[in-house]
Amino acid sequence: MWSAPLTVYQYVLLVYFSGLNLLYALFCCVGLRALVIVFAREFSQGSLRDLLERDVYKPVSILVPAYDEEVSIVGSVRSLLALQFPEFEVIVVSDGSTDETMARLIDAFSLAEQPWASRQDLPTAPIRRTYRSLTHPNLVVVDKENGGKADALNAGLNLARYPLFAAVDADSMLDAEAILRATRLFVEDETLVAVGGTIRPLNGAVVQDGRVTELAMPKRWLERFQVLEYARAFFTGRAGWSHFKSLLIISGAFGLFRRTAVLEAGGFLVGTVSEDMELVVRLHKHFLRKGQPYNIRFTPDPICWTEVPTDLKTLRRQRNRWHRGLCETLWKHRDMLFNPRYGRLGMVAVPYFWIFEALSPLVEVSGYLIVGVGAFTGFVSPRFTILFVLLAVLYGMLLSQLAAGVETFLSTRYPRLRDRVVLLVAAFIEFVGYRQFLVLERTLATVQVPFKKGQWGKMRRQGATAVAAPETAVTAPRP
Amino acid sequence: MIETLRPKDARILVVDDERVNVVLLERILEQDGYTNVRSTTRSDQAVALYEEFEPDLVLLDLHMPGLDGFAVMERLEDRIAGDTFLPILILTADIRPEVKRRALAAGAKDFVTKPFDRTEVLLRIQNLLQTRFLHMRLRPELASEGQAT
Amino acid sequence: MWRRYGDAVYTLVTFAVFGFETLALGALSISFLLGRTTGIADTPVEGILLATLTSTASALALLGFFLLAYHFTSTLRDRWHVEQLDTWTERWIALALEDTPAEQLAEGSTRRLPRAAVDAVLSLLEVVKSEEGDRLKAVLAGHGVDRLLLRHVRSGHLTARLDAIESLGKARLPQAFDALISLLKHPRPVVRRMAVRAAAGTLATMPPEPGPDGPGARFIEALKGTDIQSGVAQESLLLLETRAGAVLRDLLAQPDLGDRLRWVALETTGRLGLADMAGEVAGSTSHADPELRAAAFRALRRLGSVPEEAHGSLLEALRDEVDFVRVQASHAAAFLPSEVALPALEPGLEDESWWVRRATAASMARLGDDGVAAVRRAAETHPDQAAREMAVQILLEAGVLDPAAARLVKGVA
Repeated sequence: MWSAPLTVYQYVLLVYFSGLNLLYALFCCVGLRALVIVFAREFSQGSLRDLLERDVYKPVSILVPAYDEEVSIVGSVRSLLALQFPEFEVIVVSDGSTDETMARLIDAFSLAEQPWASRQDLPTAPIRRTYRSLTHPNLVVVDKENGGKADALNAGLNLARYPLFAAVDADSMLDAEAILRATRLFVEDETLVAVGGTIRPLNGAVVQDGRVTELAMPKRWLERFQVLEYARAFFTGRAGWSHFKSLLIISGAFGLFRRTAVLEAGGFLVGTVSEDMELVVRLHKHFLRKGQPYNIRFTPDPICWTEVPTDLKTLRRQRNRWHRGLCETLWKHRDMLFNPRYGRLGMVAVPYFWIFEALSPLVEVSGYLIVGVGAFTGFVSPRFTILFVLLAVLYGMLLSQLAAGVETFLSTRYPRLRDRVVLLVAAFIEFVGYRQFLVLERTLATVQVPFKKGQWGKMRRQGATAVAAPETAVTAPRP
Repeated sequence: MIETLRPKDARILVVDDERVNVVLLERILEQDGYTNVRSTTRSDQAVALYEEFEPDLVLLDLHMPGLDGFAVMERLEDRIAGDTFLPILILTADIRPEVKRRALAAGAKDFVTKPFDRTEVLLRIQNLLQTRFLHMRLRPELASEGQAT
Repeated sequence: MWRRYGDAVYTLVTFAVFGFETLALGALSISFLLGRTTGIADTPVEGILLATLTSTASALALLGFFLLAYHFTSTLRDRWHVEQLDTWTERWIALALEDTPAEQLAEGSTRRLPRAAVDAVLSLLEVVKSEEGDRLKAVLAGHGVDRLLLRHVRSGHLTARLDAIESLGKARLPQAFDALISLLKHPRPVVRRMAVRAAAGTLATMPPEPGPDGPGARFIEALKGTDIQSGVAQESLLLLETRAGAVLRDLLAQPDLGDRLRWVALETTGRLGLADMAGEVAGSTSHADPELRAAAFRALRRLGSVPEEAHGSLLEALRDEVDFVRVQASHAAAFLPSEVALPALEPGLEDESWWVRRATAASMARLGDDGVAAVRRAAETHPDQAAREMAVQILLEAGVLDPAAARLVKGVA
């Protein structure tokens, strides 16, 4: 009685698995070729230096939403102010922080209160005070009532005065050329509305004066797996989507946007867990409906570093949040699913995310169950089961290796051969426990979506894994 | 008796993050007879090197990672005694007029854009050193300290 | 940020691996289906599964080995390249500083130069010009590097072509100019972009030849006929360095100049601060396209002057129906005589657009003591609250008012 539906389901599983991996493989190849190889030549060091020295840039407002970030906020802001870029402003928005965040900022940057006549392009929670730095004229700090990350970003947006803005996390560490490389794309393409950058885990790196001076793999396997994951996600996944003009996700750790475009689309959505993805999807929708040519791209240059969770609890919370955010956004924009009005996005990208991202944990878990049950009841031969599982695992490893391979081409790659071996070994070990653990968490998240709307959860911050960075200001305070 | 200072004995410090530029300038200066040249590609070491070497002239690039030329000039300002004339010659590929103005306002005494003309650079260096030595000669107490060994 | 060697092999390996996997998985899926529906025992399926497994495992091993080998060899190669670069740099510097006439060096050997040697010359050419630069260019010609690069540019594989264009951009060899110009008609946008930059860099060092056949004129013709983004066109004009002024003047004088190029020319003139071109720029202040009107005013503001002939259109632009034109006109008004500017600007303080109000107040504050006094008056007595707030903001930023006093002024929350 069970044989027919089970067979069909097994076949579906096989097709699902094959399809997913082949799509992924396609992305790898496309991403590597179209993005990395051509990109590397066009944006070489020399040409970038030329452009920096010739005033071809668009000024940028960097928005930094912060909530209870007393440990790292001063260091982060300092490294932002030291970016190599001719004209930019840093707007830090303290979203009703309850700790010493504001006090430390006021102290470190000689902040003076200044009433501000700002535009009210977007509604936000009330602003308590606005400050300007006496030592760094391009630093503005806003202290406002709590309203969430999206609300904080909107408040920053109201104050931003440049045509482009970057939304960064308080703990993102940007490469000195980050803004230069990302804005480069805007100079070339007038229809560009958003650019996502490549994020790399900071764990294990040695940081001095706000710059990464030495790169090494972290000691814990948990962190090592994440290094691999990020490489996969960015160098293969997003590179591919960007090439096909269907990029749906720009990481909240670093995204560069055209201010007018975001305002047109309505700013960041308050009350959602992943406001970064939600904004990008909404931007697509807005411009597709409007019928206006636009572009959303991804730059494979690794320009942003972020600290990844070092303990299981924080990792779980993070992945839970990410997955809920994904599901929430997809559900909110479910009218795009298989809707030809949204072109390639509606017919390919959104369905992909539904099937292979949002629902994949469920499918994977069911796959494990079916295969287990099948083997147990003898319906499926145990040898077949083992071989099939082994194949799935090996194929996944292959993809991870490929991503690790792209990383090898970077001039700022993990330099030690030992670390390269560790990375390749991680590709193997990942499948023995880590991946399954995450699948379970994401399954849980999928189920929790209707109940845990818009909740953030806390992250235990450790401060950057670093050699003591001298806390001397880059510019001496002026009397 | 005030000894005649030979400009060719001058101590020259070159700061540029590109190794090629540093080597090129060193050879150019060598060929023109300057024997006392030190250099660095690390802008963060520039100030320490300045204090140790006490150069008569600094050739400085503007766009360097970490501490750029402007930051270096600012730090040198703090360390130079008020009445010392330290010539700083900026060598940069940046042609923007406001950058030039900013550099000259920040304490640079002269400005040359890359790619540069060798003869022109040497002449400018010579002029700056002559001014420096003239300045020192007019201040006997400093002249005796600043004699090239 | 990315290494440029080994990527071809890696791509090939990747394609091979995944191509094979695709076939294997396809076969597996079909055989599974066939096995199930025709009731054949799944031994053939298992057989294929085993085969796929073996192939995947070997692909894994192959890829893993390739990566480790690449990592190892690239580390060594990078180190070796740096050493070689240093050695060649010293040699070339010595050659450049000798008094050998350039023509003599151009007759050099047919010996092919290694990559590091060429890189060293190109780096040096970015730093030094005149006789030394000419000697280095002659070296390149003498060793046939220019011919090789031109060959790659005309017919090469994409990545070789891009590398060659970049090298020519650094080398700035006059003999490569025409080849680069002709690439502006290439179908691929990335080739066009890189070619225009390289061509501009080359033009910057070529001797001026006025007239319709000169390189400047050829460049302008090519620019008019190509499809590149405004930002890229702007970059290329900026790369013209000292040649930019002449080219921009010719460009703005073109009768059939398209709107996009006109916009680029106006922007670039402003950025380069070419004050003597204020007259040419002024001509666009009454253009039909609002983007161009705005660009013209923005340029005038950067040039720091508004010629007589543009006064009329500026005063009109202050009431323009398009907001960004009003903004730019307001900024430029700071360079009119204050007795003309102040009364014309005042109404802008209650404009509906925040940006216009800001530009108005900022310009008024720049019009000397009369201007600051006018802004103060507005801060205290203007009937419109938004106007008062903006006036206060500007006074704060100008350092004329301190924050404590600002709070006391009527209207600020």
